[in-house]
Amino acid sequence: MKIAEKQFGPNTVVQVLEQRLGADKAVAFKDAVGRVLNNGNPQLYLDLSQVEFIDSSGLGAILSLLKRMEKGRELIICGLTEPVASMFKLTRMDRVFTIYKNVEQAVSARTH
Amino acid sequence: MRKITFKIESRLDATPLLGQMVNALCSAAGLSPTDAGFVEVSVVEAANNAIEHAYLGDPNNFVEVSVSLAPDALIFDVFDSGKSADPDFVHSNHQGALSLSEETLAHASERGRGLAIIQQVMDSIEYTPGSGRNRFRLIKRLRAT
Repeated sequence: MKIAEKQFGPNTVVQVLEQRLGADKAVAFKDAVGRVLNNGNPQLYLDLSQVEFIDSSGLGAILSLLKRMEKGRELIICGLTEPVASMFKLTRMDRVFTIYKNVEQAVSARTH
Repeated sequence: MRKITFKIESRLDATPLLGQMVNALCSAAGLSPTDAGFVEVSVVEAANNAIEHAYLGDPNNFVEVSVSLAPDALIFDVFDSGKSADPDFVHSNHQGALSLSEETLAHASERGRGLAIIQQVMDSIEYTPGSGRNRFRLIKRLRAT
């Protein structure tokens, strides 16, 4: 699972550098992003702009990360491509996540 | 009716190529990019189910997917030779798995949405257990433009 990590002050941006987030990658994704979550950052921005395919296992892995966030911490989703945004909507995941068009917009909105 | 068959090893990392082929066939048949993506996910979910539940993760088997192009529909038959599922369970309504909201989040499972997605996307499904060969048929109607 390829991810890139970038610090924005006390917060972290994790970009998923995979085109597909399916059942074969879900466990590795959870492990990789979970390690970043353990750093205790108040906000974690998850940049999915490279991801063009997601299935129920990939969605479930993202949901499990959200459920791991303690009160007062936020998992913010950024950069959904059209196919992934459609899956978020189909599975109602768009109702439980804060979603921004891209990282820049998210960081700007959350810091001003 | 035109038909093409794919055969993949029963490994989860074998399903992306299957998905890409399904997506290309859907586009060629005239589905929108959004619908082609949804059907791709559905067929991949069916193949994942065969790998995880019929073969219990054993990679030394095969999943076969036949795609038939009828005048008014795309028909996907996903075959496995593993443990059969309960047809009543497959055909039961799984839409409750998609009832996610902030109120239900704490109790929401991270698994169990595959069949709900398939039911939501496809126009009809039919699971037929067989001795040595199970068939999960997914049908997507083609709308006249």
